[in-house]
Amino acid sequence: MEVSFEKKDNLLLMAFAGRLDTVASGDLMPKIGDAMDPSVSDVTVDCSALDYISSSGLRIFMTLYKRTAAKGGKFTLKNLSPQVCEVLNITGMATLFNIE
Amino acid sequence: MKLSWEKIKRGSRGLGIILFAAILLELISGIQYYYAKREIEDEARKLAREKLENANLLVESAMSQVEVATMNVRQFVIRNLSNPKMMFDITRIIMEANPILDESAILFVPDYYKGSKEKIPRDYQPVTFRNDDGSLTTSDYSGSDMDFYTRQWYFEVVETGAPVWTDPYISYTDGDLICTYSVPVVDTSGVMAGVLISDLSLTWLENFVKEGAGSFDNSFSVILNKLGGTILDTRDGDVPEELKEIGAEIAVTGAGEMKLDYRDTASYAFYGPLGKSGWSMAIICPEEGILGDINKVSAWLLGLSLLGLALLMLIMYLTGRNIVKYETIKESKQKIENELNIAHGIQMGMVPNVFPSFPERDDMEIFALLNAAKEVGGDLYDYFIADGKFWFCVGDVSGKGVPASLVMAVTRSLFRSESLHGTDPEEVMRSMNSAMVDINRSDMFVTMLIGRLDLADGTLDFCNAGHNAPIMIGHDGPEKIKVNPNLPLGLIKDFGYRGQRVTLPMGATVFFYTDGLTEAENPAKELFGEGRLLGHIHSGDSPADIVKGLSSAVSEFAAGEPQSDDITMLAILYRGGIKSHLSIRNEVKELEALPVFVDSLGLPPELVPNVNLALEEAVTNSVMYAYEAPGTGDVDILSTVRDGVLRLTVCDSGKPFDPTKAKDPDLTLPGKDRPVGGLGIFLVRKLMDDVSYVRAGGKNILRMTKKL
Repeated sequence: MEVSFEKKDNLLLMAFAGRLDTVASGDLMPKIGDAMDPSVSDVTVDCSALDYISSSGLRIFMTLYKRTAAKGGKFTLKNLSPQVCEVLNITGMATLFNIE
Repeated sequence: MKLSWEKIKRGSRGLGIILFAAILLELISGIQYYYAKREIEDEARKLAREKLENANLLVESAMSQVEVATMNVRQFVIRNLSNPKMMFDITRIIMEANPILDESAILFVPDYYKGSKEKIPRDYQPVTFRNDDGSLTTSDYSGSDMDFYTRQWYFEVVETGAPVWTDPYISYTDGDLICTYSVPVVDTSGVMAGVLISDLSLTWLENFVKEGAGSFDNSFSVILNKLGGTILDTRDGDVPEELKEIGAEIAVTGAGEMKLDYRDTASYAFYGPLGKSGWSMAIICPEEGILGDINKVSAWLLGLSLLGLALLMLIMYLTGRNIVKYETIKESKQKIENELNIAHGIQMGMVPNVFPSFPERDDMEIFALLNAAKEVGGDLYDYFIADGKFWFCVGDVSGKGVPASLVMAVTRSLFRSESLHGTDPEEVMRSMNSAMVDINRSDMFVTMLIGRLDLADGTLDFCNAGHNAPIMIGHDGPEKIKVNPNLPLGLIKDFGYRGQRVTLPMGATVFFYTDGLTEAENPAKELFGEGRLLGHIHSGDSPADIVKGLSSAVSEFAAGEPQSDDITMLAILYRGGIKSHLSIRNEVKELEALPVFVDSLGLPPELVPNVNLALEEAVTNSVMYAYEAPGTGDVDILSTVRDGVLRLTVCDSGKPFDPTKAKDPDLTLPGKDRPVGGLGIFLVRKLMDDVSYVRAGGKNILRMTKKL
């Protein structure tokens, strides 16, 4: 999966493209770790190109959510595909995250 | 060496028992003998005593009679002394009146009738004696040249003036044994006139004594006078010293008995007084005579019992030998049985016997059973799956027992080695035949049927080698499959085996068996036969049902008749429908193969993402957790489409784990309390219609279904 990072003040803007499956999640996590410096309190992920997410990917979302929540910030997901949306609904995360 | 020590030990044990029995026996015999001996002695004693008593009484009464008669006549004589001629009549009269007397006589003192007018001789002695015929003869012994005056019955009586009983002596008139009672005759003037004598015949006593003696073997009697001298002896014997000594005492001491040695023979002596004249009678009989019989019997019994014991010892020795032999044989037999049992275990291990054999597959089901007639047998079956092809074989080695089982083992190895790199059953059969002809020394052959089922499309290639035709069970019921009549394996080198092909419709079952099944006999010598076989197979039965059902049917049919041949049954149900099969190692990287796999299934596009997700979750779970690091293993994914349902099976051979047991995560928890992970299985359950888990054949098998 491809990921792009953009930092705007205390907002980390990411765009995921492709499939966030177990393999991709494994590769992604370290990269996010690098990008998430202490100044970041909000995270937004553009999911317009995200075709697929598995539980490993959900794990990453949860981690990001908890980190921003701890800093009083917001975790936002944008342009979710129906499949990813369904998964978030099933797992009850849709209500947790900020969906746009 | 060990053998004979065992023998000795056993022998001495037996010997001890025999000795003890012998001692006991002899003890009992001894006691019996002792009591028997006492009994007999008592009997003898009673008998002897009776005889003695009788003799005593007889003698007493005879003597009394004589005394009385003589006394009476004496009065008569005294009154008629002046009439000398009358004396003859008097002696006659007394003789007539007393038949017991042998002779009656009066011996006058010399010259008693001197100066009488009748001219009476000096030694006047009128006599009357009894002849042998019983008649009486009166005679005059006067003037004989026998000097009667010297006789004891004369001078003792004349001197003492008292009556006298003489000892028995031989009569000079007729040679009989007699004794004499003599009384003095004193006339009215007090002058001794003479003696009146009565002779008592003792022949009857002689006879009596002889009779009494005869009661016991080799016994004899003696009659002793008061001095211990012999009066009468039934045989030429010297009186035992001991008796002589007590002869005089007996009359005083009375009846008795003693044991003595007579001529070096242990003997009994029973004795008692005889009459009033101081005589005594003794009966001497050797112990032998009394105890002779029981001694003989005892000796015989002893001899026999010793012989019996010797015989027993011989038997024990021989039996002991046999027992040891028998026990060694038993040991050997036990060893052989143990080894056969182990061999049986090994043989059973050679045929697949874990069911279900392929639990992760639902495109086929198989059940098999092998009942060996003996501990080890010559039937075989085998199967395995390689590259989506199910290879199997069923075979029957000619014969049974150990030789057949060895050939069976060889055949099975050949099957495996040839089919793993063989192309089709026909080729495998030819290679196997070639190898077996080479090694076949004992003209054993193997009937065989090899098959290869393509699980993707149900194509069954098979080759028969003299084996009985399999049965196809479709919707319409069981039907024999026609087979090519190829020769059994191991007979003709380079035999041109010809294979065959049938196609199994989905849901069909094929049934293979060996002739032990159809040729099973019942007590009436009837065979189970193909008819009964077909009768017990119904379409719709599972392979296990078919095989188990036939197994009990044959048992029932045989009704206790011992199984004469191995029975093998193999039933394969082909369901088909496996679309794809993917096998990956337990590495996360391998998960990349999954989307490709799912794409290949040709599913409706709208289902693809969710199926992908569910599959990924399930497989990830196995990949991450089934095998403990650093262990490696495979995760297999099988996909079946049948009747509009997709079934995905994920299985691994790792540690047991049931994902369906995991609790659903609590979605109501506030964000900060929600755990990060734990969603994988939950998603699987949510995304698929049905999720089930089974642990079988050492595998975790997770099945997910989705209606298409």
